[in-house]
Amino acid sequence: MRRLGMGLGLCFALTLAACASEEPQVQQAAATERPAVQMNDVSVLWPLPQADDGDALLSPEGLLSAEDYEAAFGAPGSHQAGGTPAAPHLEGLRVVAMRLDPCAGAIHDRCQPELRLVFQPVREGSSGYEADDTAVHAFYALTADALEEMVARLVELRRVGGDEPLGGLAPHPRMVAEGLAGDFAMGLSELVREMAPPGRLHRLTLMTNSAFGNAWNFSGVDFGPDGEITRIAMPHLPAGTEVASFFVGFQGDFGGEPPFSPATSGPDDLQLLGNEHVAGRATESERAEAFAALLRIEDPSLHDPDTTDCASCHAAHPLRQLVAEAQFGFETPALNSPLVPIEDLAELHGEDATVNLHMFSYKGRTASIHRRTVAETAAVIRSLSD
Amino acid sequence: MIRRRLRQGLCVSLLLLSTGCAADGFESQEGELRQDSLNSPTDTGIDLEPGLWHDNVLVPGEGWHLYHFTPGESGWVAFQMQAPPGHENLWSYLRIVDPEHNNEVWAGVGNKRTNLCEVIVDVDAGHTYDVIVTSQENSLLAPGAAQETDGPYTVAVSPMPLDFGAGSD
Repeated sequence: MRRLGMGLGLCFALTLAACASEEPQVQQAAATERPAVQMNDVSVLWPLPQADDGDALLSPEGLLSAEDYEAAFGAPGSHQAGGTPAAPHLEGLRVVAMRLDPCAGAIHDRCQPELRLVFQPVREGSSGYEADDTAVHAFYALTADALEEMVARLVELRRVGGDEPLGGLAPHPRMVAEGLAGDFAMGLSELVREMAPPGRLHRLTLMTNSAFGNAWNFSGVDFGPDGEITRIAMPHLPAGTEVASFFVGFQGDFGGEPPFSPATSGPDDLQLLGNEHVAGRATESERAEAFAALLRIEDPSLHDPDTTDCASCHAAHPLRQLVAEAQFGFETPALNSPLVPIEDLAELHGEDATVNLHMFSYKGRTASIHRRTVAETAAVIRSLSD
Repeated sequence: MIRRRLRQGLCVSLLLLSTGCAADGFESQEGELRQDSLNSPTDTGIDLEPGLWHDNVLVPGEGWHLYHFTPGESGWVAFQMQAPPGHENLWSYLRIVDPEHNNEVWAGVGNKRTNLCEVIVDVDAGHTYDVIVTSQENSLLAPGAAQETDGPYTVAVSPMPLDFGAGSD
């Protein structure tokens, strides 16, 4: 079904295949050549608490101030534009993921080292702890030195007790093994609290869910150096747009009319794939054009939040898997990277057949890791090795 | 200005001239159920925006729910309401009111298996419309009877890319 990527990815796959017949020597070679920084060092997904962990995830205290949160999303309970749901209550949020980017904005020749925290409401349900289908992303500006220090300390923390490869992105294997009260989780929490004080916060974004779980709404604000707030102007959407939405239809069957609101006018337009009935009536070349646009939107070397809207970016992964591939037979080329084993770049399939717009967080109890997040993380590894 | 109805199938839709659609003047009294007539909806204070779904709950005694919509562009839009199929006393029902022109159009659910109601209206940019949301059986209440509907629903107004060419009026 899948084609291997060209160039380096293909070379990497061939190298690995050859390794199988010379296992001892190659394992040693791989260990010495492996970069110090691994995928799960710079993109960390906390496992959901187990019953005996209790409320062990990081709370917003000392990371997100109520003042900033209310300035961004209004007083508790305030509906967002169009009556879309209020932001979740601050006190119920917990950190479920962390990501580092040494050079946010690189495709625009900018370079802002950045730490992103992903917050979700996490509660104990009938089958264990689960996360609401909503998320708040908090972006903290770091200096290059602070980011370098954080990466070094993350690697050091992970190496305590072993330096084995952790594989592709997943709930962090050390925290899965040790629990949220283990040394790794405690050390990570301490490091995050040190590196992400409210004063470094420069952007807050929000994803909420409405239409009985069938629509997702995206918005956000930027904080200026003097604390002034500006609503994020999403690219290629009408001026003044505060909220962009993706609607999957009431049967959850990609039948939303329209699927994207407002419609994007960007050069890379995947919207045709947002409604499988409309896509089914389109020509093959129109579908191919939308699929190519989708792949470009998933490519961090081509697009970032300044070039594509939030709804298109978050919907790309489920639209590719559940519409383009499943309904119309498109094949997705494998990701490749010179510094990451190709098997660590593989995307998850089949774990969750529902529409999941979380790029690196949870829907219920299901961890969601989008292809774009894998690609971004591989790009971070490469950037850190330069 | 509301000029016509279009969509068939999903819902029943009629064009009526109202005799007055003022949305004020009724105060609920503690311990009493509100009167549930068109003249006393509960104003949610929410301005609907194209394509964005708002979730809410009808509560006995609160009256019908009132929303507002002021389109930025003229053209066809679909006012939509959906409630969980199978609900015993919540059958989606919409009434779109043009207070300035003393006009309204309403629709009740046509297919209870979807419980989706849709009213398609040609709207004028900058003009404000009232969107009243309730359950179909409440449209048949005897004068003074209190609605008993309780349950969740979602409502939106979505742009419709329709073009009937010249003379469609």
